Amino acid sequence: MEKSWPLFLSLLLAPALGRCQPVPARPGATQACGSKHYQDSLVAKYIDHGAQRFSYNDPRWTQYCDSLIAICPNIAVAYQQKAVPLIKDGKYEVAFALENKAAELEPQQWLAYRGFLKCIFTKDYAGAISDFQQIERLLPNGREMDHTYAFFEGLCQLELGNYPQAETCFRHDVQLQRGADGTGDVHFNTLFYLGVLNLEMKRYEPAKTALAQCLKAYAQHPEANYYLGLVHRAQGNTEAAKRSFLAAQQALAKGYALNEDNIYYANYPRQITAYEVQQALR
Amino acid sequence: MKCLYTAGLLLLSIAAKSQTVVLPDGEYMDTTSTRHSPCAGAILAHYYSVAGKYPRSSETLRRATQEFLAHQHRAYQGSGYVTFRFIIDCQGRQLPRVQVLQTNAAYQRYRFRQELVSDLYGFLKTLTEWRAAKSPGGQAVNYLAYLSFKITDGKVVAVIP
Repeated sequence: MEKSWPLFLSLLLAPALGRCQPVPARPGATQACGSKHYQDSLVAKYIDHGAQRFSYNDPRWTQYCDSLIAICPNIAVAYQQKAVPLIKDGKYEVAFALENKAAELEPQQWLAYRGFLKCIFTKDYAGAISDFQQIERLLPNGREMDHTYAFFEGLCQLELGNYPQAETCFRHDVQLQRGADGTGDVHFNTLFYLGVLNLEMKRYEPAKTALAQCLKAYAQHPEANYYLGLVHRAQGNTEAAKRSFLAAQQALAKGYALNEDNIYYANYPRQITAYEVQQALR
Repeated sequence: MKCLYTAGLLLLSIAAKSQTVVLPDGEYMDTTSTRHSPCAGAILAHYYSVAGKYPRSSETLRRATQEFLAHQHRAYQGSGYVTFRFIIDCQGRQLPRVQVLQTNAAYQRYRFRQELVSDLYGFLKTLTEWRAAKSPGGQAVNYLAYLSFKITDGKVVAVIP
């Protein structure tokens, strides 16, 4: 909720901000659209110092993006930025037409982002895997939204029930995070999903180990506590299960969450609410 | 009189089917307006600004939707997304004038058969625990929300967000 307050404010304040309107295109400007320098200057003008002065729900956001597209239709970021409010509003037809254009124009920049949207926002796991596999070939071992491509592919494989493939991806994700010297920290959500994967595969001890490691990094992780409860329950340990469910319940009540930037807009796979914990405790 | 009575019986025997209404700004499940709402003066926000996602996990909603559809005893077809966009008022009530958007699995415009859309809308109306939102200053808030159903071969495989 703390995080949503600035968003809320931005929505309230947006109409009160300056009344600058997008600048019309210069005639003949399209000839220069092939120049990286010219493109960058336009992005600075129409996106950085244009659209982004407003909330993305302000009509001027879209106007600036449209102006940039009208001047140079080959600037990928204009399409991607225009799609930002649309995807969060469930307007997939328009949003993905724009995302597709951005990914087509600049795949190295926007293919992984589109894969992320398919994975988290539209649960199009097969489509997301295809995007992440393509970008992996272009930019091996890259990252998107705080995670490796392997993490997102692993998540999608998990949700499709392709457990061996998911395991390969998560192992690769862990390896990348550990780094060449093997000492890097592993993100608690990698550990969480590894725990879920092992639970799905009925490998309860590895599931407990991964979830315990996750909880060592982030003790209030509601989902890790909840899934640890499910592991205990699957093993017939009802007392331990109850303790974990109660820990999940308390964490949710205190406002803890899976801790990903986009959980305000879309549920991550396996994300729970107080209702599911309540059901588990019955 | 007998004719009127017969006509009435005939009308009652026809199964009610909801019909979408196409307006210049999109397709709607209904067009009923709300008057004298206690939330008329409330601020309008988006669901994500007020933690307004429905308080159930996506998986719980998916299972509930499938159960609801199973009770309709119909065979559904098609793959893609059916999305309903609507306003939750400051008292946590879903307002009428629900927009419906439909795409295929490749996010291109598509039309599912009306029975599926109507039944999903029927399910949507069973969700009565939307959060009544307030601004941090305590002001009443109405918020824009949506619910998408990802359909694969007529089955609901995910509920979004």
